[in-house]
Amino acid sequence: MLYVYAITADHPGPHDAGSLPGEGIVPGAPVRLLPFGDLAAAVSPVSAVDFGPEALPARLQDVDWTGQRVLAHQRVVDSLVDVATVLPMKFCTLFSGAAALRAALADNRAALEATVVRLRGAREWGVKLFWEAPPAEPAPVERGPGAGAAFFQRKRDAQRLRAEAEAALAHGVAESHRRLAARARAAVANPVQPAAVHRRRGEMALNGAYLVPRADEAAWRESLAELERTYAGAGIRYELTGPWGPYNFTGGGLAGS
Amino acid sequence: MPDPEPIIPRTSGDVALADLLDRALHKGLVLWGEATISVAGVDLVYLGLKVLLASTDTANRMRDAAAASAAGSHLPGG
Repeated sequence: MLYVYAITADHPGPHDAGSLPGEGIVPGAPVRLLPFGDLAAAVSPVSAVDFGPEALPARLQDVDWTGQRVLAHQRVVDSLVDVATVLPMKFCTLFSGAAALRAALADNRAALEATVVRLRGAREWGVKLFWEAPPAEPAPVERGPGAGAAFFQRKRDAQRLRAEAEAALAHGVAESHRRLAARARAAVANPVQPAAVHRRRGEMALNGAYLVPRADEAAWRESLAELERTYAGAGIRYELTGPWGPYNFTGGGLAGS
Repeated sequence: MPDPEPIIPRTSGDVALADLLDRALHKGLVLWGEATISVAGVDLVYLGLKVLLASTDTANRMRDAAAASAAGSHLPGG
């Protein structure tokens, strides 16, 4: 069987495999580039003992095994990002052999080449926006006449402040995504990660991915720096990750035979 | 135009691992062929791993694996 990490194009040399990691998805499986016209597929031979349709679902239940395989997949994609145009495959894309892979590439050639054009010369970056509400002021202890009215007034004030903070956050999130997208070739706002997954202070309010042309990276990063300056006072901070292979911009599924 | 300055991702461990799962298991190109047997199963594994990643043990093990296998630079932010 063949494990496919990515479809590539625009290699500087004749499908130069020099930058590929020596080891692929499993120990001892070399990574090679299978040429297909102007495209290539980065692949490793794998055994049906682990990756066959009967074995794989059970293997994937093993967190350590799967974690290692995901990291190996990423290493191969990562090694290609700076030497070629890369269309990263979804984890565990498998074909019975080179003939089956070539058939799928042939069936989807036009769509793949169109995707290469969309991705050429750009890299994916991730930006997450975290928000921390300003600490509430402790309420003074009220006694005597008028205490009830003061209590309800404080409650109204707190509700108003919270509503204002949430409106400011919504505006900051929309404006952040808009400005980062304006300097990108493509952009997507993904579902935010729950606190148990991101484990950062505050609440994640934007989980964006941006396809940025290399020539525009400096300007795009300046947009991010500007956002940091603009919204720091509103309890908003940003985290940048990348560069990534453009997983978010491959266009999803292609039909096969 | 000169290259922008080298980029040092301003993040660490946990978020980048979750991001990697979000990308490699949830996104990426799906090329259907006669033997793309496993992609549907990966969607289920994705959810399971996201839950497990919320446990410190799993995150630590994956981070250790990333550090051991890659001399640091292969996982963005790792």
